[in-house]
Amino acid sequence: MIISIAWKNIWRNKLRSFVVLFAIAIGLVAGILSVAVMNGALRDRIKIAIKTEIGSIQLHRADYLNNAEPDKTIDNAGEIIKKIEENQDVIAVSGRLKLEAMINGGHGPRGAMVLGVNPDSEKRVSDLYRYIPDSLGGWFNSDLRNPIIISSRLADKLKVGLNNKVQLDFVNKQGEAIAAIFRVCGIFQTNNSIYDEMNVFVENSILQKMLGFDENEFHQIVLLTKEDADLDSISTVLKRKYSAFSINTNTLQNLGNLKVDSSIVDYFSANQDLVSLNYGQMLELLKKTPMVLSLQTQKDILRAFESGITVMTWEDAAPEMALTSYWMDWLLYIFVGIILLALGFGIVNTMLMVVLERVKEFGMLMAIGMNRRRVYLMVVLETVFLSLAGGVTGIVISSILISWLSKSGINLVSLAEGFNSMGYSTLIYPYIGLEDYIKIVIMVILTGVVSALYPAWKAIRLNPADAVRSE
Amino acid sequence: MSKVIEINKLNKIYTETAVPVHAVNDLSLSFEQGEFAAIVGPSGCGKTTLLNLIGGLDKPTDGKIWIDGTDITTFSIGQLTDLRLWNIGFVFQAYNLIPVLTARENVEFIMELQHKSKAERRARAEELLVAVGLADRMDVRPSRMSGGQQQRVAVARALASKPKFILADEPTANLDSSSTETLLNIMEELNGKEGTTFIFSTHDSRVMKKARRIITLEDGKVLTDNII
Repeated sequence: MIISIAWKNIWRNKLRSFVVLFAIAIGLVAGILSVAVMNGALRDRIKIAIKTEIGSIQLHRADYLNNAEPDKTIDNAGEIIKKIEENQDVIAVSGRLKLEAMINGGHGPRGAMVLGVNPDSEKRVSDLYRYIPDSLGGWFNSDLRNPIIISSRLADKLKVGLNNKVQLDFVNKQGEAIAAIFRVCGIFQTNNSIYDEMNVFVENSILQKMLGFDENEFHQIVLLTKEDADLDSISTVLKRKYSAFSINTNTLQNLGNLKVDSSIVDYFSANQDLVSLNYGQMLELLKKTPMVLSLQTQKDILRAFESGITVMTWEDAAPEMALTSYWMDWLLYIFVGIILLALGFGIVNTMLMVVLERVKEFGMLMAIGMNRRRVYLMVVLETVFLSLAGGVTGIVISSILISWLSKSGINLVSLAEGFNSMGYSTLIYPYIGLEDYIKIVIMVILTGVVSALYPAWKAIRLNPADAVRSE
Repeated sequence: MSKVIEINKLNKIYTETAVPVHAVNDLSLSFEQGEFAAIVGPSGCGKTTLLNLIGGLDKPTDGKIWIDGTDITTFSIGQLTDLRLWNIGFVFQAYNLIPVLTARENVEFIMELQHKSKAERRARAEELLVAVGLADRMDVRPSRMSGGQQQRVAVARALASKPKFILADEPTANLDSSSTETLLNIMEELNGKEGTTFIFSTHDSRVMKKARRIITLEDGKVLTDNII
């Protein structure tokens, strides 16, 4: 009955309760919507990054990541690709040559990353071809000799257009400088201006002939997994198969650069000259380190000693996005927390007024035998119900708004330059997960409980004899 | 008859005021089971203070109060709350019902505090509301009742916990003659039927006429104690 009384009590002064309720609701709508917009923008960014730019998982020769020289290709790349294709969670796999080059359209050179791709398999791991408008060519579907695909941003800088010639200057596998003329067969534009300006695409087969690479020789293997696939377990399987580790003078130098505790350096130095350790053996070594290491430090140490193939999920390949994603969870707590903190003071004020108005009633309740614990509980429940009523209203309004906006999107085209420079789309589809709503409900309940503490304490401090006779 | 309440040399001095007030002064009294007693006297004579001390709402400065042979002056706040819940019924001048509950729920509420079953609560509440003449107002909230009806609900609530005695602080002060008459008849009948001791503080001559014992206080002392 206390629950029922507490619920009924909040509607005794409807106007006051509705004011508090709507204040909470509006505050929450603002907070939830802000978080949903940022969340949506980040989700889109991650989705685009995976589907267009970096794939779900990448494999490189370990030393290529430290020094991207043309001869540092993955051994047995063709075999590895065939093996990976057998994994049920993998949608597609593609090998890439990846070379630094200078590109020149006749009006001055610019640096670029040349990606040598197999047009068919690349189309399955990356949807970059979708970003080529029909009017600006296509994905290697012309009869041009030495076709190249560049972005519209780079085309503008190079002052070239469709079918125009550009010259690429790069180094072949033997380290000799090579210059070659390519013709623009397609012009793409993604939402990531930095990516657009940096990357150009040519056919693998042409690069292989031009630079002396074998048919199945690649610098990078990219794979796209199903959306619900467990990337950690796939990458662990790949690491167990293809990673190798060596503890030698060179790799110990990598460890030294990590600025880890000297006891860790001493520990691995004592294990010097262990070569060709597999992933499992390396993990065993890590377990025996003289101090407990964070997950990130363990990852860094593994990377330092890698001598075979490095397997990176998109989070390893784009750590800034992974970090933003991690902080996005905290942003919910921070945004909604600040709003609820401000609202909490209003709730405390309202509940103090409630207690003050009902001194006589609290006196009567204690006089007839309601103990202080129950009186306290009743005030706390009233506050929680009031907060929850506002919270649920806010969540319902937010979910309706987010559901609508997630279909239509929010177009921030006026901010395109800033958004695109960070790789974000200007059309944002707000998103917030069910677990986030649950977190918000818990935060609202906590706000109610905390806001009730002082008013409830005031209520139980009343002397029933005085309170019952008060006016 | 057994003594329900026994008071010995009770004193209550309020020291919070500029001049200390000796509200109850070396007072000794006792009440037996089934009494229908009125405590009368001018304003400030200590009637309400005495009821508050007997009801465990306030602590005496000195002296003893035994309820059913147990000294309650040494009780903690929690023990006093339990004492009130299980042994004492209260009727207040301003009715003091819970406004968001119906008459029936108001009567049931105290039994819920006693953890009585729903069926027991309901049966007792209905029995009492019928007894106070509110059979047709059980599901009505206090705001839709007259003062007299609200006070009858308050009497039913006071009896719901099956207390040893009921303390009624000027219960008829806000009622018209007809409502007072009805209320007094009901309380008299319930006193006879349930055997519960009723102790009133009052100025009301109509209450005094019904009372079977009249205790007159003056300056916190018993001036007269007459059994009629």
